[in-house]
Amino acid sequence: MNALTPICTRCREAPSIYYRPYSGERLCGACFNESLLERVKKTVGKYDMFEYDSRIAVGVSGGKDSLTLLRLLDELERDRPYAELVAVCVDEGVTGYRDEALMLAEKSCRELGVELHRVGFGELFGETMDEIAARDRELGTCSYCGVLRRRALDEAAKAVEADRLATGHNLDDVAQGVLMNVLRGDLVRIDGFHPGGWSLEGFVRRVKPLCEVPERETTFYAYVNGLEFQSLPCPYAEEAMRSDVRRFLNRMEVGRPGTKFTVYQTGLKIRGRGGGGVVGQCRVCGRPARGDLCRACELSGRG
Amino acid sequence: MSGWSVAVRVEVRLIGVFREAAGSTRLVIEVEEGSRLVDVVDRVVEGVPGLGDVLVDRVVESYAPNALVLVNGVEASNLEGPMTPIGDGSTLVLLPVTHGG
Repeated sequence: MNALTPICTRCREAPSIYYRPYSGERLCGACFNESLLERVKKTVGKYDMFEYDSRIAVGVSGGKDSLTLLRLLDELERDRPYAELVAVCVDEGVTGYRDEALMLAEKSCRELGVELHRVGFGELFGETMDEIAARDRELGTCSYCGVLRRRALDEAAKAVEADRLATGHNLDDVAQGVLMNVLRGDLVRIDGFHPGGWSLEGFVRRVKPLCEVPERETTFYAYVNGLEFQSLPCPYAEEAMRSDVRRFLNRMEVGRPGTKFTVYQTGLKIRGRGGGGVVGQCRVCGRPARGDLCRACELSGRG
Repeated sequence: MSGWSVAVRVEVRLIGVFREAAGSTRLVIEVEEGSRLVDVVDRVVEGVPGLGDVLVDRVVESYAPNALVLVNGVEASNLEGPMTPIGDGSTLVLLPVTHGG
């Protein structure tokens, strides 16, 4: 119905449906999917994210990024008979929001035949996000949720005996993280930036295979491939600084395509090799920590 | 010349926060023949209170930072971006870039 649809610059046969301003490519649906798979494969290789026989826990939230990641890793791991995928999800206890997302995560796992293991804030920390949001607290809800969700995913990955934990963080997420750390002057986090994750005793190594895929592309992939995903933001979302940085980077990317890649690459150039500043051990849970109490134990009131 | 203007019908599908702001998954609107994508988006924003707040970035006065717009299944920047001609019977999808999860 569109009069002037350019031909795909990759296969040079089919009409294109997607334009990448940062590379000038125009891609048909099949080539778009193929290019994402190739990019993830290259990223996994570049950071040595997996062993040939890794048991990979994929963190699925029911959102577009994690379901795209699950689909792409499932396709990649078909060529690696000794590697295994298992999905893990966290029920933070956000009534009406997370219920729908978890249902979508379950559906996607069922379709791919991937086992799903579920953990909840209530059972792990004695409090759901609804309860944390309702009580007196010093920090915003996202500060609690981010820290506790990371810990919950680690617990879930351990429970399924995984040696890697893959999360759906995309290029936008990591570029926002780099810029936020610069704006806060957080040298420890700048030093510790590593999409391939650190091997630290006490934690399952966390990897980000989508770190070079822009959010527009995970969104487009999920939509054109008919993935059913959670499409509404969390009702407690209030991360003011991240929202500001996201808006800024999105505007910059429209006017100056490639900005997010530049920020991400800059993060890689200025980081150290020191393991993320983890030097101590938490006195409560025994995991590696920046001081003598880890953030998860601190925020869940165990310290 | 008679000065007659001809209207074209366009279906607009709304996803995620756009659906929530509009209170509907689908709108059908009529715009003048010869309209471009930017005209259709402007018309939708005018007609749906609250949608502009989540769709349009007021600093750059554009939907581009916040949304992927598909015109008959093709992402709009692969066509002529905001200046893409919109023909009768076209379907637009307004897809937010940032979702929950």
